[in-house]
Amino acid sequence: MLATLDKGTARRNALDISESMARNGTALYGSTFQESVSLGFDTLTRHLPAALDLFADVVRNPLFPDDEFERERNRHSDNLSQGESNPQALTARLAPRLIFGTEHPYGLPVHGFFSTISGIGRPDIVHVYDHCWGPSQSAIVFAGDVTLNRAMELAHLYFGDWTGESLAEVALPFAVPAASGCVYLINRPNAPQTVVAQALPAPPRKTNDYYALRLVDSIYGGDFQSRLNRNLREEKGFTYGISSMLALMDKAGYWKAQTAIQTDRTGDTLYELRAELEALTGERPITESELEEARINRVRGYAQQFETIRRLAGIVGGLWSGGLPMSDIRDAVDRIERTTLEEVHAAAARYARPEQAIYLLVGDRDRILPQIEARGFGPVVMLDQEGRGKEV
Amino acid sequence: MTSDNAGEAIPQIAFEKIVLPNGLELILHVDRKLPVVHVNHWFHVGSKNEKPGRTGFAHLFEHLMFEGSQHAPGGYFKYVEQAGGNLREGGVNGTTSYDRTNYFATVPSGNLEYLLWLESDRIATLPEALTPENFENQRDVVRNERRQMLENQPYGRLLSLINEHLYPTGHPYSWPVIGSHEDLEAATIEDVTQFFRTYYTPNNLSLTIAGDFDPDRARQWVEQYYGDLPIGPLLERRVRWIPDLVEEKIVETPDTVPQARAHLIYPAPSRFEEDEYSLDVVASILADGLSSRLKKQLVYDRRICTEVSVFNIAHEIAGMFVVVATLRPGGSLPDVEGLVTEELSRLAVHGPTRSEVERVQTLWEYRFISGFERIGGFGGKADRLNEANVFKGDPGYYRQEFECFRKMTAQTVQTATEQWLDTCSRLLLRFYPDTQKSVAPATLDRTQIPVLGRDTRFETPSVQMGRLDNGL
Repeated sequence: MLATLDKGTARRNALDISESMARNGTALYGSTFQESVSLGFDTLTRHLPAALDLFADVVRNPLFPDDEFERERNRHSDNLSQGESNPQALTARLAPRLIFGTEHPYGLPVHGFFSTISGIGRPDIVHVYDHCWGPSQSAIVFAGDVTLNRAMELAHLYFGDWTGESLAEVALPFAVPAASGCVYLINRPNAPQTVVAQALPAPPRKTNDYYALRLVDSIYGGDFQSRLNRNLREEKGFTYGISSMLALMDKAGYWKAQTAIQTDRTGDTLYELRAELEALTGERPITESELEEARINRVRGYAQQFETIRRLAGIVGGLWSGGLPMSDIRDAVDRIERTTLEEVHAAAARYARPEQAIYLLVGDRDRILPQIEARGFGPVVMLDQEGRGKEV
Repeated sequence: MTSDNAGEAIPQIAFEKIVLPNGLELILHVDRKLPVVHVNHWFHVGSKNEKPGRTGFAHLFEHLMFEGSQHAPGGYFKYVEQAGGNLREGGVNGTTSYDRTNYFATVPSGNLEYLLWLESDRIATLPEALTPENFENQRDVVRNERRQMLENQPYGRLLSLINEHLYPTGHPYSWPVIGSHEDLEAATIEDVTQFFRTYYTPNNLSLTIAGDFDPDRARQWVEQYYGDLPIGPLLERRVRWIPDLVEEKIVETPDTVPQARAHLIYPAPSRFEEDEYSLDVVASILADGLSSRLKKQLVYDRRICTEVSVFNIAHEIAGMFVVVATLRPGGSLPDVEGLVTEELSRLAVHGPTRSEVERVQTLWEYRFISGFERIGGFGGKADRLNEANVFKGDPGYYRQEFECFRKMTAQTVQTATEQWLDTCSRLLLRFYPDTQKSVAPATLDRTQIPVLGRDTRFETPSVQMGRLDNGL
């Protein structure tokens, strides 16, 4: 829907829209997330009214012409098959599916699957537009050389008489994770590296554990000095780097560490990943000095993320769509500083659960299988490019 | 006057440049938007300076610089993260190109002196602090970087194929920055010391400090921490060497990719030549936005490509102009190459319209100014000051670049297109989907000649016939 949105309005065709944006020194950029969609532009202040006029036309009056839809659908399906050939992208796309299950919306990749994209028709995207796009479910963020009065004046002018449906709450089913204890493998013959992901269920964004868990993640795999990166890169040299991240949505989340490992170290890496996860709540709990370093880094590095207006607008938009107060921007440093070792240990105990971890691999099956077995992992479940199980 | 933007004042980056007695060039730029300060080192050394048999060494060396120094043992990152360096925001890194190696970090304003101590310590003491274990570890890391970025990535071998086929043997751009596994294996810890003494010297360093700081204090600290670095040898600089392809060269390569991709690659001007800006404009006219010439024709009207991009990449002694077209399944690479070639010829013969040039100027002005939002990072102010200082000897050269874009006319664009792009002296690099769906091995032993296969009977096509009532 988003890709076709700017491909024609009552006043302008797709080429006019692109050309007019360029004449105002800008271009539209859009992103689709699990629970929100954003569309924006940035431009020199003197071009703002003209660019906003155009932007409002795109947001409010799209026609979704048949042939434009067709072209975008084809391009989208090409891009999806392109993504399947990139082992890192493929792993990132499929890990949530193993955590939430095949029927859960959080398990579906935001950009869909190659096999299902052809089933989407123009009426489907018109339906989404008609039922999801409207003023009561939207926010416009202005950042830069503009006052609130000026922003309100412009918003009234271009969006004041905008009407539209609001979205009904989506009922989410329970997550049905894939069996833990298995290793899920997508074959990539002759690959010089194996992409390895370790994924765990995680709480919703609004959890009280948020700051404690962020710090656990920093120490485990989030920072350069994290346990995982020091072990697998700085001590063993198996990889160019490993990092972990938290993806926390409104109702649930997941926690994932991902890396690309030289193929002959795949088994050793699985072993290390499991050992590091066990150590968090076992023989090497997070120490006060690790926590202090992680806190200091978060606090001292905080200001930097506000350097560009585009990034700032993105942070504000993320808080808004997550239903979080804008005061979080101000309070975050204080919350991080006040997080105690007990809270961090409690968060680790709740979420760093080795028995729930799922391992997803993309690499050369024939060279990996013996290593997995030798390290006592398994059984191995072979998956296809869309994460469906298949016969070995 | 070529556009309505011509009246706007050129944005300024106020700076001060100081040369220390040991040759170190210091550039100071104050920007108090956020309470942070950015320190950016450019050493004028890259893969271009490597010796045969040691490709990839400049980049491997860059990795070693993060392994800790005499008074900051155990790795640089430990210290910089404690000083507030934010890797998640891209605030700390090092990068190596053909021509230069840079190291940068952004920290809270109060930690400037600490950061200058940390940075200067590695420049003063690296070889003394480096252990064989660290050396071997980073060699393994770099070999994994090569596997990840080049060997296990769709179209990942593109740049190394360009090195091999666009540049003649002996040209310093004829090998990849990352190097070969063989050469990385051959590198020794003795190479490190020699490389360090030759290139990591104050007279080969341009140091920019940008952000919220007091310039007098900063200058004193730089004198204090960098002032006793010993002067290194005078270096001979390679001069402009644009490759000259006598005829069109076609390279075809299978890859584990679902879509064929065409690359039309033309030798182009080096960095800061006037024609560089003309070719930037051509790139934008061809592929910036849906209404650009190639996007409109190949993606929008004819629908034979999923994506078209054009890059004009200028390095210190040569550049390249690259058209990349990703084909829809079933499309023909030569057909797409033919259409691109026709468009380039049309531009060379008729030139762009005035409105095309103006559109690009407006877009470009926005991008230029938005780069000023950041003190650090790629294209941020410190990088811009350092780049112009290292290659041009004038940190403020961005003003001339700005003027050059403003003065651009349809005529200058046409002339540059005619000179550089309306030619068969080019490299066509074709990626096509490998039906075997496996990743090409990184190295192939070509001395192993396969035996001829067993003959199999040719199964001829079966012919079936029918007849219509009308006798057809």
